[in-house]
Amino acid sequence: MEDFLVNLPDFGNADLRLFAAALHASSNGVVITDHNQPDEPIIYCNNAFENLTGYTKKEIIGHNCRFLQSEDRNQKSRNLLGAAIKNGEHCTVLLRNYKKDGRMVWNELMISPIKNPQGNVTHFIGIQNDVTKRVNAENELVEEREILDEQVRERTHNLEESESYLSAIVETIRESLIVLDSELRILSANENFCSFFRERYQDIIGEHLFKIGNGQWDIPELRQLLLNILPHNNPFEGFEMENEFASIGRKMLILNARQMTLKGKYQDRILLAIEDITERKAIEHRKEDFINIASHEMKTPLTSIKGNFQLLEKIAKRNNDTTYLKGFATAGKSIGRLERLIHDLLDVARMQSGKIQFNFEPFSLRKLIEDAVIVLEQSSPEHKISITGIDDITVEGDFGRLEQVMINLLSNAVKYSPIEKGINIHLSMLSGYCKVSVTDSGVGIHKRDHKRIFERFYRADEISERFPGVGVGLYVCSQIIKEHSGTLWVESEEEKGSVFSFTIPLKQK
Amino acid sequence: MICDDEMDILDVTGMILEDAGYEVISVSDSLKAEEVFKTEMPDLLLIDCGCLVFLVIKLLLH
Repeated sequence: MEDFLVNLPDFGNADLRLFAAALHASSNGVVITDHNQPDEPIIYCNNAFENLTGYTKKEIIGHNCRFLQSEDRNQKSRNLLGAAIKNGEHCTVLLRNYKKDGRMVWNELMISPIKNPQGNVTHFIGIQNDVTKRVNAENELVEEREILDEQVRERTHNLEESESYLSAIVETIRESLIVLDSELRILSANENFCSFFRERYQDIIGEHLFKIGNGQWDIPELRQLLLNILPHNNPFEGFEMENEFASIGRKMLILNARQMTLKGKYQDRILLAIEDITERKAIEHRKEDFINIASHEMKTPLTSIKGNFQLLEKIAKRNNDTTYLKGFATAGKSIGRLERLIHDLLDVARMQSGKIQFNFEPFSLRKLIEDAVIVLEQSSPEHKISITGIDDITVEGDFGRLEQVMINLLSNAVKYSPIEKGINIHLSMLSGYCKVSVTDSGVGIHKRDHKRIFERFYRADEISERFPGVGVGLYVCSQIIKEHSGTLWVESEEEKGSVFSFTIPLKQK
Repeated sequence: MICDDEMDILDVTGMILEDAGYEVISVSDSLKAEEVFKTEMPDLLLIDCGCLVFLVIKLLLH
């Protein structure tokens, strides 16, 4: 039994002794100080207090509690403690205490005054708790929160920076841009959109795209395209729409849209870019009109020239006048070239406006090839054209138009093979299609131009310097083959000749 | 008889036909074509139907 318990005066009250024993066994550190003696000395401490401080009872009893704070005396909590002791009040404080070995522990200290019947404080009871673990955890939490806060601040700053960077681009760009949410409501619009469509920014924000203006955006096709974007990240490009806008009249627009994601901020937004191509289309239209009218106007005088010429040639031959025969032949070739060029230009104009009619009929492919070869052999007898591959096959198509393709391809082969005179035509059949390849050993075509030579008015740089032409022949050919549901392509290397091939289905649907 | 509002075409067609032995009446004014047709009653009528389509129909009905 502890001395303290042994020495307790026996008032014949067993409960008091039991309470004292319990106090002694408590896991909380307990001290009692004597308030009536100078400097508030400790008169009792339990075992837990010894464990908590690392000091033994001998070193504790008789001392003021302040030795527990070692040199760390300027703690605010000590002032609170001092005041409570002075006023004889309860108080709970958190103190940095130091164990005998110098280790710091966080001590949660509760003090309670004990008063005599007259109400004067005689003792203080101090209950101590080592809350180091809890305080450390709390501190770590605070630290982590601070780090997190700092990261959030940094992130926000970065976002603000990138947003202002983006908005600078968005505002400078000459296209109209709007951002939509998943319900197709407008979240933002750039200045160009507002000025072009004469809408006030505040009027359209939050509005459904299809409800602004006179509902001119509400086009079923566009609705479908926009609604398809988010679920499958399915962007679209080049959607053309022509519409009457209440404020700006009829406009031709081209629309691109895609899903917009900003990591960690949003992912269900749609960026819709709108380009006004009204003017461009009008210019294209005027250009086509010009080509159409110009070639029409050229056709009549050319017919007259050709007629007169044939007549003169005929009369000269009849009169056995050979003086101008060579001149007639040269001029005849030139007229033929001019005629084909005008026809091609007229075809371009007609194809652009979809006015070309195709008459599909079954015919012999061999005959088509041979007819074209005859035309070429007449105008360029010095070139030798050979035909290889399958003998013959019946194909469904527009004979006249396909003959035009063949003459065009053969004329090109002749034109671009000034030195090597051999040209081969190879016919083959592949599952349901026929394939015709025209091979020459001429100047060839650079790889970068393989696709572009089929565009309207495109001429490869190297070619346009050495050979005359306007760049419509292959465009017309590719359009004709396209109308036959076939493809026309080229394989070629510079100075190694070219192979132009096309395929068309044996039967047209 | 040839009808065309393009004088150049009218001339050259006329010359080619005459060279081939035909007797040719050329008319460039479509308003007069009907009248000439009625008085001359040609064996063969060559007409530029692009610009004289109404005349063609009228003469066919005749």
